[in-house]
This record gives sequence, structure tokens and C-alpha cells, in this order.
Amino acid sequence: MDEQDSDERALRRRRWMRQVQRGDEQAYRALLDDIGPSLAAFLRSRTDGRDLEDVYQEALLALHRVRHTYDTRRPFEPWLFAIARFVAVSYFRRQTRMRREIVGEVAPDVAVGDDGPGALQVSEALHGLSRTEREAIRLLQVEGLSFEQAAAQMGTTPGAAKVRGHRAYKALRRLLGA
Amino acid sequence: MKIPRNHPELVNRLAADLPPVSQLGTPAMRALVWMVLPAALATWAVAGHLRADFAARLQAPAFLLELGLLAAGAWLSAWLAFRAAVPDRRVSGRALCVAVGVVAAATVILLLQPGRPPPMAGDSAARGLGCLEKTVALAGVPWLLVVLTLRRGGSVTPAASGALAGAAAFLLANVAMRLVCPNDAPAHVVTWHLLPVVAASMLSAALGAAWFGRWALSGRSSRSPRSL
Repeated sequence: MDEQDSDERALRRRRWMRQVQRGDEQAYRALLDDIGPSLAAFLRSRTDGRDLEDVYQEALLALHRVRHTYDTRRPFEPWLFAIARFVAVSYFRRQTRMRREIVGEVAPDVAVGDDGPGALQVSEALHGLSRTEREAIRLLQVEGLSFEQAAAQMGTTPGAAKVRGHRAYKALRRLLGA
Repeated sequence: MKIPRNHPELVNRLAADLPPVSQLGTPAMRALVWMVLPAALATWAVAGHLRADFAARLQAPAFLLELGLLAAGAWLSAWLAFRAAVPDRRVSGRALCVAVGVVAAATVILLLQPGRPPPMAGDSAARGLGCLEKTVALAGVPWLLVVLTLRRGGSVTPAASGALAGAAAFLLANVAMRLVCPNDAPAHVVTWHLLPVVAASMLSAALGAAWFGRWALSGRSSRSPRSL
């Protein structure tokens, strides 16, 4: 019975993906609602629980961006989880780099390594920021984007991106006691 | 199982930005299409510069087999590169062995070809550098094309995609170089024609690692939808 359910679900997802590639919004909503729990569980097992929303967002964005690479004659799940695994690993690497780089900028006196106490301190501080503040730091400090480029990614104006960046730095300094 | 709190907002935003997309063609077909333009360009580029013994060499089955194997190696590398750019289709060890085996067979045939002309006189290093320059020039367009084509994919093994792109482009350039360069000395061909394939693959792997993941999957693409 379970196997039959699983087969039916797989077929349903493939059919939805075919419709998604044709631009069917309803099918997309149905697909994303259907895969949400298993995707979240997969990412939760590979990341810090506090990062889940960010990684989940990146995974769905990646799926959205490369939806044309799915071959509707093949099973859907291996394609989905290959993307999710890549996103989770990339996210983890970027977080490590971000911790290392922002300390040099914001709080150079905090010793930091990949797993040392400094890294934990920064990690805690980053989680004390709002999602928009974390994103501002990632785009401006780690990615090294200009205010214009960061604004385009954040969906705001360059002026607002600048303000968001300054606020994020200030909040991070406060959280790090720097 | 719980879903993240931002799920409804994400679904709304993504569903609102859903233009139809055309599915990628099969990696085999894409590799074939990729080869057409570079092959035509290479034919045009070498047409006026064919080796003096071109007609005679075309009578030698071993030479033709060597060219065929190099072209097959280029196609196989491109096919694997395009496979590696689809999330659920990794490069299998067996397929990679076949590609390497085809190029190795071309090299063995080169080494075993009977009655080949003696090595050319003159400054061999200077001649070798000339061949290297031509190989790089001939590989430029195919490499650019394969990279641009790969950009449409979603590689979860960016370094492998990059390495295979470099191998494909330089193997194709090698086919053209065998039609142009009159020097059949194995040492010359291996050093100045084939070793650059290895070097280019390594360089291209590094570039691929930096570019491909960034372009498609990591959320840092210049063509990514707005941050949510």
C-alpha cells in the first residue's frame, strides 16, 4: 500500500513539474506544498536548525532557477535532493567564510577559526541579527557587492541597502561586544 | 513534519514569477550541436594552412583512426560535461574511463604509426610553442561555447563540468592541429598538442568551480530572482 502511495506521489510530482515548466502556477503551488515537509526534513538533517529558513529559501530559489534542467521522463526526487544537497553544502561553506571575514572587519579582536570559540561567538551573533541584516552582511561584506548590486538582490534601493548594511554592522558589533 | 515559517511567502513569490521554460535537450544531442559550430570554424581556420602531406596522410587508416578517436574524445567530454550540469546526472566512473580510454587509444595509435616522417629539423621548442599558441587559439571558441551552454545548466559538480569543458575544447582543437601541423613526432605531439589538454582541463576545472555553481544554484547569480 505504501509503495503504491509512493509511486502515485512520484507520478504526481512529475506531472506537476511538466506543468511547472509550462508556467502553470497552480501546479507549482501544489508541488511546493507537497515537497515542503520532506525538503525541510532533509535540510534540517544537514544544517544548524536556526539556519533552516535561510537554507530552505536558497533551496527553493535554486529549484526555481534550474527547473528547466529537470527531465520529466526521469524520477523527480533524485533531481530535487541533488539540488538540496548542493545548496546545503554551499551554504555551510559560505557561512564559515562569512564568520571568518566579518570578524576581520567588524571585530578583529575576536579570535576566530573554523570551529573555535570565536567562530561560535560570531555564529551566535549572526543568529541574533534579523534575516535582512544577515543578508546585507553577506552581500556587502562576503560577496563584496556594490550597494547597487546588493540592492538589486535585496529588492530595494541602493540607499536602503546602505542603511541596512550600516545597521547590520552596528548590531553585529553590539552583539559581539566590540 | 514541519515546514519552515517562510514557506507560504516563498511559494507566493516564486509562483508569481513563473514564465514557461523549455526543457534542456539531452546531453548527447547538446554535445553534438556544440560540436557543429566549432568544427565549421576550425575547418575554415585551417583550410588554407593544411600540412603539405595532407593528401598522403589521409590515405593512412591509422591517421584517420587517430583523428576519429580524438573527435570522439571531444564529443564524449562535452557529453559528460553536459551530463554533469544536470543535478541528478553525475559523471559515472565508467563513462569517464571510456572517454580517457578513447584519448589514450588515439595516443597509442600515434605512437605506433609505422612509417611516419622523421622529426622535423630546427628549433623544436620554438615550433612547439607555435603549436601551443595555435591549439589555444583554436580551442578558445569551442571552450567559450561549451561554457556558455553549461551556464544554462545547474551543475552540482562544478569542477568536473569545468574540467570536461576544457578537455572537450582542447581535444577538438587537437583534431584541427593534426591537420595543420606537419610534425608527427610522438614527443612533439604529446608534449605540445596533448599535454595542453591536461593543463587546460585543470585550469578549466578551477574556473568551473568558481563559476558554474555560482551562476545557477548558489543564489548568487546575476540572473537570480530577487531575494525573498
